[in-house]
Amino acid sequence: MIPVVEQGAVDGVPVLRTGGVAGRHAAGLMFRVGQFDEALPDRGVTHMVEHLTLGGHHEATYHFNASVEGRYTQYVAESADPADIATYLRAVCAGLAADHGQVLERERRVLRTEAASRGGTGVLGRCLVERYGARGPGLLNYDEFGLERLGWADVAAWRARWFTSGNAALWVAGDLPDGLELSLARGYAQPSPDLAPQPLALPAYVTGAKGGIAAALVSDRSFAAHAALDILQRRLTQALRHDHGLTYDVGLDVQEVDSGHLHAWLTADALPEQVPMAAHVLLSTFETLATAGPREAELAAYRRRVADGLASPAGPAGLLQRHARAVLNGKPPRSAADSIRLAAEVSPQDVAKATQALRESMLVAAPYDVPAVQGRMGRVPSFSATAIGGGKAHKPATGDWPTLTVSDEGVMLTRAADEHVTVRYATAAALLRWNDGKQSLIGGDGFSVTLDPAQWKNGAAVVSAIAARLPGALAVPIDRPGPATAAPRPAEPPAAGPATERRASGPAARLARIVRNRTFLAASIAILFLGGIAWTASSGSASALSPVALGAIVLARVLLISRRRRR
Amino acid sequence: MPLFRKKDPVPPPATAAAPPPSVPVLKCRGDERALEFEEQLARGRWQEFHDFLQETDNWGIRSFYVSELSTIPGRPQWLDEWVAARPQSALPLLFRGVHSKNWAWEARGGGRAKTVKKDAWPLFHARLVEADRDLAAAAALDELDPTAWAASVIVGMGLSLGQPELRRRFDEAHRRDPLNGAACVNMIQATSRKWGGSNEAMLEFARWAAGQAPDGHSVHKVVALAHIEMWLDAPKGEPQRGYFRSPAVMQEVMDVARRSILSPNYAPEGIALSWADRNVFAFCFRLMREYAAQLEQMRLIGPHVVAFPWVYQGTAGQKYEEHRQHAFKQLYAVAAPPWEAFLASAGWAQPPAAGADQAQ
Repeated sequence: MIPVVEQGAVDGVPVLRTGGVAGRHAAGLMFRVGQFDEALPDRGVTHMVEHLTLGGHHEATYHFNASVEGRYTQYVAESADPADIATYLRAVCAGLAADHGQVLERERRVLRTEAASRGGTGVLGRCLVERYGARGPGLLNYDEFGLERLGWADVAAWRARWFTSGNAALWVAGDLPDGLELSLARGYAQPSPDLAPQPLALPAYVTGAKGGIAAALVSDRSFAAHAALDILQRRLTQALRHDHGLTYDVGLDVQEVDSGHLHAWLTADALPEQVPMAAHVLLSTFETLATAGPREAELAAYRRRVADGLASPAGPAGLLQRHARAVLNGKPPRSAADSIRLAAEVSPQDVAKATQALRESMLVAAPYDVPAVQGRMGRVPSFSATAIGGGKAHKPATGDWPTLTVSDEGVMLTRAADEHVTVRYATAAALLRWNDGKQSLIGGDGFSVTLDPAQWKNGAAVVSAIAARLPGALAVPIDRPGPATAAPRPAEPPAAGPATERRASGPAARLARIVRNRTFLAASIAILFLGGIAWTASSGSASALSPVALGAIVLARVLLISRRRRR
Repeated sequence: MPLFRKKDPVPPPATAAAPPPSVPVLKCRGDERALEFEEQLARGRWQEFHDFLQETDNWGIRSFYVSELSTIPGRPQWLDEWVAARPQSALPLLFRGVHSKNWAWEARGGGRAKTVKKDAWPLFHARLVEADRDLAAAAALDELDPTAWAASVIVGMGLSLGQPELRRRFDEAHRRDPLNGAACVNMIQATSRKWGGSNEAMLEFARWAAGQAPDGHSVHKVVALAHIEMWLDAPKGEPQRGYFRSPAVMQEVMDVARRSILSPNYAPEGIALSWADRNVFAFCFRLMREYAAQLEQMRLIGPHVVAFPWVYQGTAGQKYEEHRQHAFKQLYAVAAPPWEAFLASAGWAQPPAAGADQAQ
C-alpha cells in the first residue's frame, strides 16, 4: 500500500504522520542543522549538542538513537508502544534545554574516543575538500576541531541558534502518541551557508585511494539523476562483480549538499592488481550510459523499485523523512503518488543526459596515476594557482629550499619554481596550534601550510607573527604535540640555468666561493703587486720584490685558468 | 703545470665516417596494392580503401592492410570524416582505433617504460582510451570480425588492464577466427614479463598456440617470437649472447620452423604475410648461427625486408645487411655479393625502388 502523509503541528513544530509497520511506531525529530553548517574551527559542535542531549538517557527499554548528517540532525526512536515515543521526545526536548556544562569534559572525551575508533573519511574527504574547500561538505575531511576549543557557552549558543521549534520537524510512522509535547525554544529557520563548489576543471582525479576506485559526483535532485545513479550502480555491479570478477561490492552513498543538489560517492573495492581494469570498466560504463542511455527493461526495473520501496515496510519512514526535509527547506513535499508518477515519466534520453552531467561533475579517487583514469581526465592541481607577492622570504634551518614567504597578504610555501602552496589571511579557515609550537594554517580552498618552528630560521618568531595576523576565532589550540613533519625539502632541485648551481653551504664553501670570485682575485693581484713595489722601495732591496711579484703572477695565472674553464 | 707555455695546437677537422652498409626496408612490405592505398589515403581519399576492406573476407589480409596503413604519423582529419560518412560500418572505427593505438605509441616511444618522459604518459593513455572506444564500437558493429579484438589486446596491454582481460580479448578474437594471426602475435607481447605477464606464461601461450596449429600454419612462428622476447629479456652479456645457442631453444625453434616456413604445406594467408614469418625465422637462425638456414630465408625474402625483429638490434636495414654479410663469411669464407646481385641470384627481378624506407 502506498503511504499517504498527513501534516499537522504540535507546539509550533510541523508534524508529519503516516501509518507504519503494524504494531510498531517510529518517530524522528529532525533539525535543519548539520556538519555542513559549521565553521572549521568549530567542527563537531553539532555532534556535541547531539551527544549532550541524550547523555543521561541510557536506561530506556525501547530502541533510540540520534545522528548528525551533513545538513540534518535527527533523534529517532522505535517501539511497540506509542507512549515510549512521547517519553523519548520529552527527554530530547529536556536535553536540548538543559545546562550540560558539568558534563562537557566527559562528553568531549567520549566524542574524541568515537572519532578515533571511527577513523577519518579517507579519500572521500579529500574529494570533498577539493570540490568545496574547507567548508560545507569539505569539513568532513577534517577532525572535529571544535572538541579542542569549544566551551559550554559556545555549544549552548550554537544550540540556541539551530535547535528551535522554527527549525524542526517531527515525523511519525504509526500512531501519534497521546500527550505529545515538543517543548523546544522558539526560533526560526536558519539560512543555509553558501556552498558553491570551487572552480575546478572537471572531470579530474586525485590519488591516494586505498582498496579500490571511487568517484565523487554531484547531481540535481531530479528523478532522471536518481534513475541514472540507480542504474549505474546495478550495471557496475553486473560488470565489475559478475562479468569480470574484479569487485566484491559497488557502494553508493548519497547525501544532500544543499536543497537543490546531492553528492554521490560511488565506490568499487578491488585488489591492487585489479584496479586498472576496475577503473576502466567503471568509466566505460559511465560513458556507455551517457551515450546510449538505459535499456527499457532497466528503466522499467527502476520504476518498480521506486514503487516497491514506497510500499515496503521501510517505505513510510523513508517517505516521512523526505517530507520532513522538504518542510525544513521550505519546499513543497512530494507525495508517494507523485514520486511514482515522476519516476514513470523519466525517459532513456533523460537518463543519458543526467549521466553525462554526473560524468562532468566527476572526481575520481584512484590509488595512483591509473592509465584508464589518466587517459580520460587531468589530475587535480597539487599547488595553488596563484602566488603572493612581496613580503619576507624565510629560509629553512638547513639548505635553501623550500622557502616560506610571509607578507601582509598571507603565507606561501615554495617548493620549487612555480610550485607554491598559498594561504591568504582573508580567506583562512583555521589555524591549528599544537603545544610543541607547530602550527598549520588552513586556507578556505583547502590548501594548508604546516610549520615546525625548529625547521626554520627564527622559526618561533615566524610562526608567532603568522598567528598574530589571524582573528582568535580561527585559532584551535591543541594540547598535544603536533604531527611529525619531515624536514622541508624541495620536490626537485630548482630549475638550473647555465649560471646556476646548487650552492653548497658551510664556512669552507663560503670561503671557497670568495676566493674564486674574479673581482677578489683581481683586487688581490693589484694589492700584492703594488704592495710589493712599496715594500721594495722602502726596504731598498731588489730581492724583496721577487716573492711578492711571484705571488701576484701566480694569482694572475689562477684568474686566467678559471676564465678559460668557464668558456 | 708550466707557468708559461705555447697555446694548444688547433686539432685537425674530423673526417666523416662512412655510413655502414644497409639494405632498403620496404614500406608496406612492398605490397603494391598497399602502396597504392597509402598514396590515396595521404590525399584523404579513403573510399576505395573502405570498399576494398569491405570485400575482403580474409581476416589475415584485412588485418595486414589495416595494420600497415594505419601507421600514419599524426592524426589526419579524414579519419573522422570516414567515421562520420559510414556510421553503420565497423571499418572506419576499426581503422581509426588501430590508428589511435599506433598514435599512442608515437607519443610514448618504443623504449622501455623507464625511457618514457613523464609528460608523455597522459597522452599515451588518452590515445589508448580513444583506441579502445573505437575498437569496442567496431567489434559491436561487426560480430564476425576478429580484427578489432586482436588489436584491442595491445590496447589493453598499454592500459595495464591485467592478464585476465587480455586473455579475454584474445579469446574473443580466437572464437571468431581460431588461431587468428594478429591476435596470437599480440598475445606474445601481452603475456611477456615486460608487460606485466611472465616469461613462463608467454612460452606457455606460444606452445599452446603452436600445439593447436596444423602443419604449415603461420602461427607456429609465435614460438620463435616468444624466444626472441626471452632473448631480449635475458641479462646482457653471455646469457643473452648464448640464449639462441642453447640446445633446447635451437631444437624448439627448428621444430616450429619445420612446421611452418620449412613445411611443404606452408600456406600463409597472403604472400605479404609470409615476409613477416620469414624475417622472424631468419633472425632466429642468425642468432642460432644456422647460417645456411638464415641465407635460405633471406633468399626467399628477397627485397621484402621488414623492420621487425631486426630493429631490436639497431637500424633494421643496417642490421639485416650486417647479418647477411656475416652469414656469407661464416658459411663460405667469402664476402657477400652486393645486394642487387644477391637478389638476382635468388631469382628476384629488379628490386623495387619506390616505397623503400631508408629511415629504418
